Amino acid sequence: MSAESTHLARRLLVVSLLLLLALLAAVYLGLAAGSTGAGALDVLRSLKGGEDFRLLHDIVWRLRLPRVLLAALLGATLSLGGMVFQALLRNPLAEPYILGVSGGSAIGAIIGILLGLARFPGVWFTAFIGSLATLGVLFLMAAGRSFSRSNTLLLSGVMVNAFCAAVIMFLVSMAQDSRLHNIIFWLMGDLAAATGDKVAALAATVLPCFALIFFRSHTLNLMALGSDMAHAMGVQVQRTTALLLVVTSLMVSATVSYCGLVGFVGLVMPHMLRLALGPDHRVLAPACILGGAAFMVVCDVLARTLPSQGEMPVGVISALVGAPLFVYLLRKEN
Amino acid sequence: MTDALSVDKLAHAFDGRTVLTALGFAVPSGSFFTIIGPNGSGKTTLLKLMVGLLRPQAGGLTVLGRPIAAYSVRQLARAMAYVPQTVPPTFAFTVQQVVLMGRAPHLGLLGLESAADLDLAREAMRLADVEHLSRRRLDQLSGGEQQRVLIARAICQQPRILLLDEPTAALDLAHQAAVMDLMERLKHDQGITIVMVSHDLNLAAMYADQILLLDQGRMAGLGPPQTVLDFNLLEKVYGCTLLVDQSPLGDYPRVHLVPGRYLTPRSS
Repeated sequence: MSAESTHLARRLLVVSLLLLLALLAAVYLGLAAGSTGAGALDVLRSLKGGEDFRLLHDIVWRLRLPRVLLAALLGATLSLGGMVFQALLRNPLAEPYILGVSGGSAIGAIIGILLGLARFPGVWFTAFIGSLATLGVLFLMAAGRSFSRSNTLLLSGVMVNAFCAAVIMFLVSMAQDSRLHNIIFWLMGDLAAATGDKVAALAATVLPCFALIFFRSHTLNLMALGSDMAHAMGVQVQRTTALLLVVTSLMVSATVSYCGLVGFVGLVMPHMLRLALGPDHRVLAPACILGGAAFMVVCDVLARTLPSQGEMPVGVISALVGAPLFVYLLRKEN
Repeated sequence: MTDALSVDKLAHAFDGRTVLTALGFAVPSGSFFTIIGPNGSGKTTLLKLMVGLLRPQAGGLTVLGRPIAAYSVRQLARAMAYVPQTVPPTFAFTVQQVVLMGRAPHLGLLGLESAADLDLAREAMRLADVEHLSRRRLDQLSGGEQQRVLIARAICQQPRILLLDEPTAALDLAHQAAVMDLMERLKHDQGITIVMVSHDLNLAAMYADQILLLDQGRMAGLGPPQTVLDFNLLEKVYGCTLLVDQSPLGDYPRVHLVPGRYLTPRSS
């Protein structure tokens, strides 16, 4: 091992370990927080099972753990997806939400729900089609221009997003009363319906995407110097760009179909972690996965515990925390 | 000896507008080859074809004896390195990180650098005189410093052929001389073929073994500086009155502009 790769490996290890600890702490908080009034130690003991903790055991294992894991997968996917979009567009303001890709998946997902399809694979599939359709429209609008001259694309994305929002409103206004509440709540970001099966299906979809993106993380570094330079350093720019966009859309639409629209994580987390850790995507990718997961788990704890009755959609919390944080970061940067 | 690059009946058009026609020449291995010509004469397009950023629409282009289409992008990146005029504003990568990226075509997917790679990067930074900037952010350097970092990155790529797009354009005089001397040394010591697009006819005269003069996408001249930097030819191509004499420094021509004596530059 050499100085530099040891340096990189050590950095990767330290960053990952610290963020993993943060994630574990967040997960523990997520398992312990709730209305049963059980103490933190009881929750730990209940994980092992035993007669004394039967009820708590069920609550923790059947209700809280799937929900915490769903939140973690959601946060990880959105911040990693945001990182990929920011790197490909070389724009720190990019994220799947701003480009309208998640709006497209939401339209697809609502159509799926209105058609009465199951969340998996039916709604997930329509959501994925929706996100690919938005990507297609974006490319057509930016056609003839280099993908890397991304201001056009970003502006097009903002427009596509606004258009998607209008279509969503239209679909919601057409929905029957019984489905309306479901759709609206889900749109705002909803983790309440988490089950072990859902979490497993989502994990099976997004974890391979995480791996694929991590193994392209150095390519993202090279592409930061522009597509010409990346090409001259041996990167198949168009193929890699297409692959990463499709993979990112795939995992984002999977989370959208399960959890609805949860904003600002994809924007704030990669940005914040890049400020703290530097721009090397080989460190940033795992950091986004772990940090995004921890952030979303904490947001979900707040969503569950802040209201005196019932709960808030987690998307409300992540946007309430995320937007001011982002403004603060922008000010600090300038 | 195989030519580093050879071009046969090469032509290229953008949206039906011809940019290059009927180019045919060879760049011998280990030579210093400079491409000159007025704005819009097709210099950058030719360079991009040679680097593989554009595909030849007509004619042939071989790199080290093999057609360019027979190379994978990665193989091509091991054979040659490219220094563009500028790079887009990047994330906060440091100079050392950028220079190390030059190792990418020689490394695995994650680009994990070894001690040897780091040594190569340090040596490249030393050669391009950016070692003292190694921990600075690329996007916070001056244009000339950025250009030298890009040159260091290209050296770190250990290419057989180095292609540069106006590498001296943003440099002060001392660094112009330093970069040109560095190219000369890379050619001599390591046998690297240097292909450079330049607007500076006098630098081309001093360093180039061969000069290619482009005029509206055609070859207007090809040969050593003494033959191509002919004042009749240059006046015709550039559309201005020039004075060409012998440089007092050596056996090569020297080109002077004559103030106030130019034709209306033709729009391309």
